[in-house]
Amino acid sequence: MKILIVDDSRAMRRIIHRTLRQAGFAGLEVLEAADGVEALELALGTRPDLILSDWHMPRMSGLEFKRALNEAGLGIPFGFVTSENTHEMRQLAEEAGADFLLAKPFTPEDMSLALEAFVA
Amino acid sequence: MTTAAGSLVSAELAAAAEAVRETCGLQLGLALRPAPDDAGATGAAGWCRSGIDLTAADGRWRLTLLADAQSARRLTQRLFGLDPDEDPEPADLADALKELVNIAAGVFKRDRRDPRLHIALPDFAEGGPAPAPLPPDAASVRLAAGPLDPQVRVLLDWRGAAETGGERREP
Repeated sequence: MKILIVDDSRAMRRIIHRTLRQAGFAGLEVLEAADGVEALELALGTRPDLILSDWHMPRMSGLEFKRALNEAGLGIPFGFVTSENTHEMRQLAEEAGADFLLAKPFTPEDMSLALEAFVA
Repeated sequence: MTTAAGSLVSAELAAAAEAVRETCGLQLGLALRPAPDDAGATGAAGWCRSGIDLTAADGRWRLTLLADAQSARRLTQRLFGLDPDEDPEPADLADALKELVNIAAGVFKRDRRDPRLHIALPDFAEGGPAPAPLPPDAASVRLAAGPLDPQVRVLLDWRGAAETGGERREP
């Protein structure tokens, strides 16, 4: 199973990757991108099974990235991982077709709950 | 601190410190606790600081994390899962401290129950001394764990009443 982690912070990409392992998701192929532009190119080329994306990023935000995926007809399961978690953001995420929003900071248990429906 | 704004900052500092404690606890497995102020280290050179501007309805704030060079190195090692003798890249050190203050700002916003609070992008600087004395409308608390663990100072700085308009980021 291929997971694409999108965050402009290498530190956060590392945290997400480590938390995935701690949550017991083994044998994952993890791809990384630093913003929505890079992620869109990678998603179009590699068709990951799940995308975990930050919200605020340079060049192309997570929300713009999700909308671009929709326009390209890629219905890949998608979750936002973000330090802000307002009702407005949840509404925007839902309208864009995101499957969940995971707020930072998070535990392996939080990650497990968010992903269990999407990771085999 | 004797000003009205100073009292406000003191009241909010506890929430900011709690946000940093939660962030470091959940994301780094580091159980920080409020510790007596270490005045002797305040003027030492080589501090790293990551800061973030917050704009709420009641005014503008700046949340800063201050860490001495050794603590900044250890925080970064923990965050990146490096060995104790492995030196982090300077860019990773800046990234780690910016990410920690960014997450803490999100927790601060959540706990304030203020969905309109705007969080700017974090910034980072290193090499200078810690501010001593603090600005008049600022307060700080030192958070520490074991003697070999990293420690941080949380500084909350009141920047005055909120202005209308200005650059905001999505949403």
